Amino acid sequence: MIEIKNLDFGYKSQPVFKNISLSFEKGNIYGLLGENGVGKTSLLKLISGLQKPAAGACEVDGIAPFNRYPETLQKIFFISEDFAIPDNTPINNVRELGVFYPNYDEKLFTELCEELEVDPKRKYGELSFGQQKKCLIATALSLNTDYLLLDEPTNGLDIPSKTLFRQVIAKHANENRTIIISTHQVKDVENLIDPIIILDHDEVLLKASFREITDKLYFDYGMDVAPEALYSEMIPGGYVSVTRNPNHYDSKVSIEVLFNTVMKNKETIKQIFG
Amino acid sequence: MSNTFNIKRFNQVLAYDWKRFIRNFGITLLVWISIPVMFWVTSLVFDFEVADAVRVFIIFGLIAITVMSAPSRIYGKVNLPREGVGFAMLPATSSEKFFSMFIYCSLLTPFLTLVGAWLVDCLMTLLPFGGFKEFIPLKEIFTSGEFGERMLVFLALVATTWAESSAFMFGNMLFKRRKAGKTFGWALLILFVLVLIFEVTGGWQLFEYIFFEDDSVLNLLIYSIIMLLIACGFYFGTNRKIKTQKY
Repeated sequence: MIEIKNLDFGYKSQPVFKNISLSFEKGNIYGLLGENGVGKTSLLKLISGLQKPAAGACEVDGIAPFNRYPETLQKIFFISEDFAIPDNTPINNVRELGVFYPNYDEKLFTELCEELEVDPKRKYGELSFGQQKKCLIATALSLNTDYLLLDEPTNGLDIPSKTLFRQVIAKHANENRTIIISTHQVKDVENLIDPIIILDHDEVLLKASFREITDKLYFDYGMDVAPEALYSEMIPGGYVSVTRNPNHYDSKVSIEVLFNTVMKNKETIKQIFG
Repeated sequence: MSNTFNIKRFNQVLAYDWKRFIRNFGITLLVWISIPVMFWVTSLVFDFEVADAVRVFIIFGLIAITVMSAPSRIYGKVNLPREGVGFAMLPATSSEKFFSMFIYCSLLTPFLTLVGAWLVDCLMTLLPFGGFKEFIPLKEIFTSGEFGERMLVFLALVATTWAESSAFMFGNMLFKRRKAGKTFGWALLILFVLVLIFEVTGGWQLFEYIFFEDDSVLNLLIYSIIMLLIACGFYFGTNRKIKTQKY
């Protein structure tokens, strides 16, 4: 489990988080959403032990990741948005890394490369950006770490690759693994992520599962804007409006509309989900 | 498993870094150790004999150069925000990563340079033409004089190499770009400031008192201790930077 308690963090002159608390339970695929610059990548770096909190605690299974204990590092794999290309072939790279990870599965790596339609025997430098990313995703999954942190994983992937990405992640998610996907391309991860975390400057605006969201908010797809809508936007053939849901009616969540609703009603959302 | 040092994991780091050593530094090292060939060719073209002292100087000069360049060639990216993530997140302790770095930069690099350049020099000497007439008396450097004195000469050489190597390892962790050049520049600046302080405070007298007494053995010992202390300081700093580097 990842626990963040009263965490303060910032870069030299720019505060990023002020007293935020969050937890990530095992077996979930978290969607970490937020506008550019709110600290999505910083949060992933804090969890990976690449950055140190200024105050408060960030713990992975009870241990501060910045200690960089091998036992903690064996549990985490982080693919950053602007990853560095290994000067190697994907198969050799994963073999070199695999010795450090107790649950590494080379057979799985080969299968994943087939699924993702990439050749693991060609040098990283010879692959396209999307292919490099798919190889890294295959690497990450085959190392079988408990925590998989993906920063903008669908950037640079073509449409079929995005579909493959969703399929592979869904297939290899399990009750012992926590996957955190940071993205601002919410449509790419629709039907994959649950729960959703929405970050704002300095704070967490929303952390809720789809069940909690549909329990408290109603997504009304109709010809007109619903009265008392917290937010509405035009869609082909009408409007989608988001209202409070005192009667707990079921509705289909649109992550993009949810995101916009949260951003336009920060305090109200905090009250509703508080 | 220990969170400080585990021998099995250390071997894994060594094996991991070996590939990095070969990939990033192998060819560079080969080029450097074949520098004596260049001198041999020059001697052949201009028909002169290269003195033993010059050939010894070339070999030790090459050690100094490879030791300076090894950290940035092998581990040049480990503190960069993007490229360093892999190194930071490799499941091994900072001490294991540091000792592996120490083995490749401070032990293997000078050793391979010494042996490699000396072998190249020997090969050139075997040729019936050119300016390398006899084998250089490398053996005599390490075997002349009393045993204790020989050991001290060896210690002084090792201490000097480690002081240099440690400084460049630390510079490699400290600077993001032009690592070797910046370390060299800073070393010169610090040396200049020290000389200035000695001039102003009259510290040379103490220096002369320590070093220019007749006892050369004592001088060597004091010199070696100072160099080893400098090396320890930089090695400690390097280990600390590996442990606390943020990305």
